[in-house]
Amino acid sequence: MINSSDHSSPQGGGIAENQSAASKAWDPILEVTGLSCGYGEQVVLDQLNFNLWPGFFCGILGPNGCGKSTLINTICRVNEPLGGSLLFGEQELRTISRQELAAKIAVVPQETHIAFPFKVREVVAMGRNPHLSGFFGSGYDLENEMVDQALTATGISHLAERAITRLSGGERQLVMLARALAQEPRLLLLDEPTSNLDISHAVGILRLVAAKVRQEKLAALAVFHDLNLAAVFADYLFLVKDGTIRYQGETNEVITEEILSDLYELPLTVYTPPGLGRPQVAVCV
Amino acid sequence: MVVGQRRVPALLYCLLLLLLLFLMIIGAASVGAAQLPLSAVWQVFADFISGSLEVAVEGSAAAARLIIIDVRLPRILTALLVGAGLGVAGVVFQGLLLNPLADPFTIGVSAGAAFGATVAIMLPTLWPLATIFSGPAVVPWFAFAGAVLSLALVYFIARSRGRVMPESMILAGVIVASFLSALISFMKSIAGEKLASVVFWIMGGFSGALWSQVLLLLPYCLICLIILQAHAGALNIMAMGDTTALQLGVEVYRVRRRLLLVAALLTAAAVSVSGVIGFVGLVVPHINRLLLGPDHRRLLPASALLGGLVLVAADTLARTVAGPTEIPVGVVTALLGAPFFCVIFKKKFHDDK
Repeated sequence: MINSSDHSSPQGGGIAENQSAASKAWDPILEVTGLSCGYGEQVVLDQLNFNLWPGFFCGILGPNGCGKSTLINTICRVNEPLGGSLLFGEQELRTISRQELAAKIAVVPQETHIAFPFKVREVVAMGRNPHLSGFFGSGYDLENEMVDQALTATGISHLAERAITRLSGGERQLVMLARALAQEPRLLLLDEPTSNLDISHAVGILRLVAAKVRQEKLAALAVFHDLNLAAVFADYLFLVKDGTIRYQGETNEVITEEILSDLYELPLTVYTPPGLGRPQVAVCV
Repeated sequence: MVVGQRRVPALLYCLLLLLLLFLMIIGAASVGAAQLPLSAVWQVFADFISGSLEVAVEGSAAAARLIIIDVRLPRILTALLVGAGLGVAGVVFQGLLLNPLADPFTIGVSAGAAFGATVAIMLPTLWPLATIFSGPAVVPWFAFAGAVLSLALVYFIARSRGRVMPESMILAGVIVASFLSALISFMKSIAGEKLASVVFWIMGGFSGALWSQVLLLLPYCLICLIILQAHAGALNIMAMGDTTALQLGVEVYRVRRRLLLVAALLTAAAVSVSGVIGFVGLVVPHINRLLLGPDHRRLLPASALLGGLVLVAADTLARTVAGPTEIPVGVVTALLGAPFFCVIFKKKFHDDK
């Protein structure tokens, strides 16, 4: 466990040491140094230093309004960063064109409202947009095999011809995940992907993501609301508070009573259910 | 279990529209102040297509040629192009502004065109020296200039930090349109004998359509339609919202700016030759959305065809129902379009439930 705020230098040796222990042999997909993000004049997050690795499922935890979604939006360049550097592989992120970027980074949004009754297959095929080119190329290719693969991988092939507006929340999130997979990204960002879903749909989605992360050496960064789901699925956690990453470390190291109670300003009990091998959190009021 | 909305096969639908359009053109060329038998119309069309118009004919065949080639055909083709432009612009505005009530006139282009036309009609009265700049041939150019200027004004007002948001575009459109309407009303109040021509122009019509107009309008519309069609896929993705579209690699702000501009220029050209013709740009896209679904790659060509068909039909009604007096075609489209729009919306809301 690292208490990031203890390190005055962004290149604090403790962080690098700890993360390289976690990263094993791979180079990071995304190297973030001294990042500050926000809107216009307003800085929401400052001095962020972290890396994301292929084959690693990372999670972000933190109280409401602490800037978790802002961070996701900054990494996928919906918001421009206010300062610092984001290195994707060897390339500075802002020098990559938006279309190229979408072929590297895909986002599964929070539950979204979709006004138009596109078919599920059409929505998933929109994920192919970053891979198309040419004057008439901006759009999508319904017949692409990646579309079918993504539909199969998420188990929604049977919904392919249905209108997206007529699906349940859980089904719709699966479509969003399928669309993200059709982008063939190397980094998958998830912004509270399961916050409006019941426990079985939530676990279903996170299992799929975790499996993709392992099998295809994707990097994933997910904003979590549910501490227990984060503890089960994330390998590595960033704990955000007061405008910066206050703690980061492997899940077992940061899901502790001391850290969580500090993060949420609430007495919380951490226990490890037999057979799970991961900590779980209970409220003790 | 709820099944997704059933859609009509797009290709079949477009072919059907094309056939209907062809029949409509023949029919429209046949009816009017002088009724021409279909066989005569067919003969003229055949000569026209085979390029044997130089071969002289006599008697009634010559009269039919004169009426069809010089009078009715340019008028039909103008209506066709204007209808296609309004239909497509309607689809684009609804898709870009994510607003089902948006139409080609939402952002104030029509008020600009009407203002320009009013100025052109009034110019000799306001400034006697300007007589050389006036006359029917000048009106479309003034209307076009008015439309483009009002578009620039709306764009300037709606822009903030280099981005144009849909809501601000609609708001700026409303503001500019009401300001220009007030100016038009002012000019009407001092118009005197010119009042009738101002009112008549604004209500819309195709009388006096010329081949020269058609030949200008045709390439202009085609270029606009091709540019818009090339962005059909991007329009689909942008219907998912700005954030999602950015994440899927669409340069949302740049594409929106480009498409708003092209659709508005298309509208400007349409209004400048025809006046303000309502409901085509609103009803046509909605019919097609209902039948074809939300995919812009199909909606755009289908709306060009249906828009053309509807406006040729409306114009034919406008010049025949009360003949020899012409009704403004804008009145026909509004009288038929408004009730039709109600029916569509009833059905749409029922379906969405």
